[in-house]
Amino acid sequence: MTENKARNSLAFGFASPIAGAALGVILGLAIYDIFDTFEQWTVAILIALLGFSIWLGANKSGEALAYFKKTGELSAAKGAANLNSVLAIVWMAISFFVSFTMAMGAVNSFVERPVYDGREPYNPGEFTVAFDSTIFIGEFLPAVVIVAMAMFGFVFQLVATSKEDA
Amino acid sequence: MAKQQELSARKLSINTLFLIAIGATSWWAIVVISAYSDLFYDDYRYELVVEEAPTKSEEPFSYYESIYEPVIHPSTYLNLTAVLVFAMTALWARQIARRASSMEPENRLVKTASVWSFIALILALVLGVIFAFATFVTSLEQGSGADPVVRIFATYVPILLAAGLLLFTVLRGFVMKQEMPND
Repeated sequence: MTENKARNSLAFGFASPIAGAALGVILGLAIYDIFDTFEQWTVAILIALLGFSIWLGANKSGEALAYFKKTGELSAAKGAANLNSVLAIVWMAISFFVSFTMAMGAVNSFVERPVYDGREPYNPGEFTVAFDSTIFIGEFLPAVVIVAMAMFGFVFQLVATSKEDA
Repeated sequence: MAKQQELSARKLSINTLFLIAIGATSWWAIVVISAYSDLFYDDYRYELVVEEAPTKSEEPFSYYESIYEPVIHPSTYLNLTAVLVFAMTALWARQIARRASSMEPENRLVKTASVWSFIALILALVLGVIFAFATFVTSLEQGSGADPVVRIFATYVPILLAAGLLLFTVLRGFVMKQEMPND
């Protein structure tokens, strides 16, 4: 790798997570404005986009760090790698929390309670638990995808910031 | 030789991070299953109560009264299993991370894996403490008049098991750790 390429990688390392976050926010807003709804799969896609941009940033900053380790010009490359590591941690924590609350919401949606129409007696214990494929695919599956993405994507992000060869 | 050792330390660190990820995902999955199982167990029983109307011209008033009857929830043991799985993977990850650390202590990835294995171990302990405390608080809610069998298997046994798990994790993670060269 040449110095010019290493500088480009460093620039990508800083720019990628910022561009990814901006793109994610704009895309999310656009989807909400156009469809007037914010489905669970949209959240999964936005988290994936953000995760990919952080991984790309981590990968590029890792390449720059490996090159500048040899030349001794470390500070900026270390900064980019640390920035991407911190972003990876924040991304993983938020994604994990989102997937957990999403899964719990989906599980509770499997409960079907009798509709209260104002007539007594109303029996609150008369609920049924029924499997609903719409809830499973629309609410539970995105949560599974997000948690898998969060945990294993996080490992790839951390490994990407610690390259040995440029 | 040095390069081979470095690669090996890197590989061990990657394995450490993957182990932590597998442990956390397993914890997530078991806790979700436990939440699902909880839907089938209710601490309340509902009984129809019919009250006479004050005047004969009116119809009697009926409603369902909720009666608190605590039962043993499988979710208690599933949650404990989730903590157990996470703690065991964290311990295993810590062991591998320490092996990698003894090979290449200055490697960035080795340092990262070592820090994360330590964080995972602390998180496992915190989860264990939260579990034990939550079980204790839930038992206070039940009051002292609960069925002894329910009391023993819903409160005493899980707290004892959690204490044992915490003790094992602390001792295995911080005291009886395997000796490494240059540790």
